[in-house]
Amino acid sequence: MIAKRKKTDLSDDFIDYLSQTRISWLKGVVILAFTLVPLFLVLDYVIVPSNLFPDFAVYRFVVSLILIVLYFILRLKFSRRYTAYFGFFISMLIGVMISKMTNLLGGFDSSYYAGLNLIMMALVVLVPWGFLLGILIATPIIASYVLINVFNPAPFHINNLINNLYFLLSTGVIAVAVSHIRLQLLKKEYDANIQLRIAKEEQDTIMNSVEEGLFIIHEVDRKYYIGNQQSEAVKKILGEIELSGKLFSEALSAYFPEAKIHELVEYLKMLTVDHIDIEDDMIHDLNPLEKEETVENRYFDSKKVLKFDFKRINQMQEGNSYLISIKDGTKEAEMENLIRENELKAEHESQMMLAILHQGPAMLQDFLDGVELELGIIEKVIHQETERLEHVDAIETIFRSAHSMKGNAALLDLKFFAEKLNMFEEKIASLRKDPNISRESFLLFTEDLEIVRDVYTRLQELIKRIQGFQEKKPGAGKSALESIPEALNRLVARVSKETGKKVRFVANHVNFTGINVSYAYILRDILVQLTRNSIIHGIEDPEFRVQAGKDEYGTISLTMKSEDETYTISYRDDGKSFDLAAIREKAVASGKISESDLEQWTDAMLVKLIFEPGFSTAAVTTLHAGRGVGMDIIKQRIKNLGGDLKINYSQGKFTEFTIVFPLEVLQ
Amino acid sequence: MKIMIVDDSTIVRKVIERYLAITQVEIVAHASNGVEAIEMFKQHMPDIVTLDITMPEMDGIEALSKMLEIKPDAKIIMISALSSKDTVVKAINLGASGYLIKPVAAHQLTDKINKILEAKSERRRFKDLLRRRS
Repeated sequence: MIAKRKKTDLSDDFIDYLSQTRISWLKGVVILAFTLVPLFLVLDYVIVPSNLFPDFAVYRFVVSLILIVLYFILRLKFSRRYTAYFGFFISMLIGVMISKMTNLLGGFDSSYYAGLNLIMMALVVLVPWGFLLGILIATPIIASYVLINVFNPAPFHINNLINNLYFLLSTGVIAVAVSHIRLQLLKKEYDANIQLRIAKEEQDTIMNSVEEGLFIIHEVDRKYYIGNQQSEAVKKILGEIELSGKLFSEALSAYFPEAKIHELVEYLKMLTVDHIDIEDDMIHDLNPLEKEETVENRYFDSKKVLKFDFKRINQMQEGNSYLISIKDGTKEAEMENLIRENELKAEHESQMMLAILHQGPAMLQDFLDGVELELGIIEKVIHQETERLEHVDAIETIFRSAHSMKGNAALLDLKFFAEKLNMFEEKIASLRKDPNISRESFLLFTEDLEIVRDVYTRLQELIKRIQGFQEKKPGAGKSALESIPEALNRLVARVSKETGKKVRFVANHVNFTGINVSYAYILRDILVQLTRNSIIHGIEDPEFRVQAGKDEYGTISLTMKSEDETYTISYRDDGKSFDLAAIREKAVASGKISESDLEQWTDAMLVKLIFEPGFSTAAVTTLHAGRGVGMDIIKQRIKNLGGDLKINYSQGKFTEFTIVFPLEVLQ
Repeated sequence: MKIMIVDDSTIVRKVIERYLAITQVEIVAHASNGVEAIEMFKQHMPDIVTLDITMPEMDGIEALSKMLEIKPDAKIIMISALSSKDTVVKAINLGASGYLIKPVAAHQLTDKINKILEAKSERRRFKDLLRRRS
């Protein structure tokens, strides 16, 4: 479309342009004329006989006056349409005046005609008339000279006439020729301008419509500066930042961290090295801004992911230039994250599926009931009853709940959930050390609790679906409580495998049916905790056991029996029992008890320390143990149920926990 | 043309050695860390070095600077992991003649060596000319 317009509109546009140019020059000529015409009076004063001088002065005065008026007329817009007429008029006016003066000074013999050459030069050469108009405008000058002197003759030598006409005509030819050439040049200039304008328009169209932010950087003294043109999209991507002429790396320092900008500076420096050729694939491979997240900045609201591309242009010039294209990769990055999240979710889902298939939906349901219970406890602590509790105690309570959930999640092989809870637990643990905890500190847990709740909902959903499926098969599924011994057995198998120990699990008369459901859950948690502690802290490595003359396999046994008024659960392992030296060391390290005091303590007193909150002897924190809440949770919960816990142990031989409940635990 | 191979992994050294067997270059030395590399470099004065960026004792960047101090016209090819592109950039700015990303393929290595052995390219000669004139 632009090309088409060029063809049809060129002549009109050009004529307009030409008229403007001619008017400008005409005005110049007129100014010259009304300056020079009166000035020549000085010459007249010298060469003109004194009787003619007043007449000459009047001629010059009148012509100058007309020229001044003409100047103002030329300034009016309408005059553009009549440039040739004005040219002709000026030619006539001054031509007639000088011819008349020549006539008065002796006609063809006078050398005063020379002034006519000046007018021709000024009027025809300076203004681009072209060939025909040039002749037309030069003509009145020569014609008036000839005609006036012919009609009002004075005696003359024919040689003089020939000489004068010869010069006048030569000047005319030269003037017309120059005028013609000037017109041609003007046309060419105009064409070139049009081409430039079209190119610029095309470029603007491109720069305004591409989706990439585009600009060029130029090397000056081994540094890169941003060029003056940027595509519209630059503003969309980078915000309202002024880039033209700025140092490239400095302009970007608003968006990226200092280290990244430093990398960019090194990269730009590399683009200027002399000792090797920088290949195009190097430019691409080593690009430090291939895909980068921005920092918070004043140019846009939220962080973006920006993708920069460097393309070399003008390879053969001194000082390289690169075309920079920028894309906003935020959406793309979000997509990628979403896909990754979904993949994770799918993996969690399959873990949940496997857990349900392995343990049975009833067991999982049981686990979920536990999670609900713990969540309830945590929320109660966070939301209302914290006023009465010391914050430290509140943290302790939350920690115990999280720990209990983690233990059960690990027990069921819900690895991702156990990991999340482990992170939650670590967060609580770090807060436990903070002396400035306040109500606000609990806000930190909001996200973790949401995760737990989310897993809870998803798992619940899955169980429902699977139960709906299983209900159609008669006889499938066992009650959750019935399967506790099996779950413990699996826990023993797994934890012993992970710790490299060999452990056997023996259950005698273990039957959870008939126990009040809420007691049973807590009882199960306690047994899980004790089992883990036994394997991790109590039972020795197989080689060690063999050396100590024990069976290679450690044994954990569980016995349950009801007597007159009480219900007793005995838990026993044949491990090394309590490491009193380690407990002593830990007690000293905790700073709560002095070393000298501790020397007075009996072993039994030392063992009781394991029920203190935050007391643990495990060196490494893992998913399984070493959190130091195990024993205090157990003690606390048994007490809450109105029961009691007794310990019996023999160094290097066994540890036995006896839990005694009142008979009400049985329904 | 004498070449020296520096890498802390024996396998990488063996692989590079095998790649070079079919070329005209002569392998004059090996080294498994930066300190050893400098010793060997002084002793053999190789024309080309393949230099691992991450090594114990003295890293590739430091070894590169030392080698170029000893023999400024030595052609040093950095062998790098994908993640350390900023270190590659630094190495080139310090005077390295090229880089290869692990795992290195045979043709990449021989291409790089051929390119290094070629005389100055047209573009570089033109640039030099321009710089001299201005």
